[in-house]
Amino acid sequence: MDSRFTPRTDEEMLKAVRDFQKRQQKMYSRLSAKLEKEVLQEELA
Amino acid sequence: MIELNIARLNLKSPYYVTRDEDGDLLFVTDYGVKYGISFELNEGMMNYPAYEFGILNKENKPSPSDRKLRDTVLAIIEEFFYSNGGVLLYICATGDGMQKFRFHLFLRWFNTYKYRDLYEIRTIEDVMDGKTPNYGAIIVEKTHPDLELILARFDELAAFLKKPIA
Repeated sequence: MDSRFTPRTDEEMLKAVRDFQKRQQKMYSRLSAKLEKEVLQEELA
Repeated sequence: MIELNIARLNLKSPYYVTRDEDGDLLFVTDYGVKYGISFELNEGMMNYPAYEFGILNKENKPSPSDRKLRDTVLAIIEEFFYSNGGVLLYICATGDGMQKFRFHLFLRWFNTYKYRDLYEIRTIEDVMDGKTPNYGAIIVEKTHPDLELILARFDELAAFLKKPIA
């Protein structure tokens, strides 16, 4: 085992997972908005 | 923002890929399906800097037999590692209930990659968050200097996710 590895507590892990999920939701919302805009522009063209 | 060489990517990618001001990658398939791909740095999930890979098609149209789509995604991942190195983290979004299908398709595609053997891949499958099954993977070059640490941290994450999450 790499000596730099230090285990995290369940609370730390849960916080990391929930933070990740929030960021992921933002990322997919951003991508979704861009793709929607592209479809709209294509329809208008 | 992740740096990718778009000109080099497009030499390999069957579909023409553009990059916008946020660094997100966009392309459209021969079937008119538009795709967006993003790489976002996340240090918390792995307790190590990793780029989260996100892929979306707005129409939610599956294209499992579109080889050009597969090869475009693989070209993007190859360019990610070429330009950036590091760790790729892919945790499937769960909003549409298609995460299992998407995850297995991604794995199937990656397993056809001609340089697959250069990478270590670890997966998390069917771990429950409440009533939602989750799927994910990390991909890291076998030559990465911190490979052992990265895999230990991923294993720690996988072990945590396998427990019921409050």
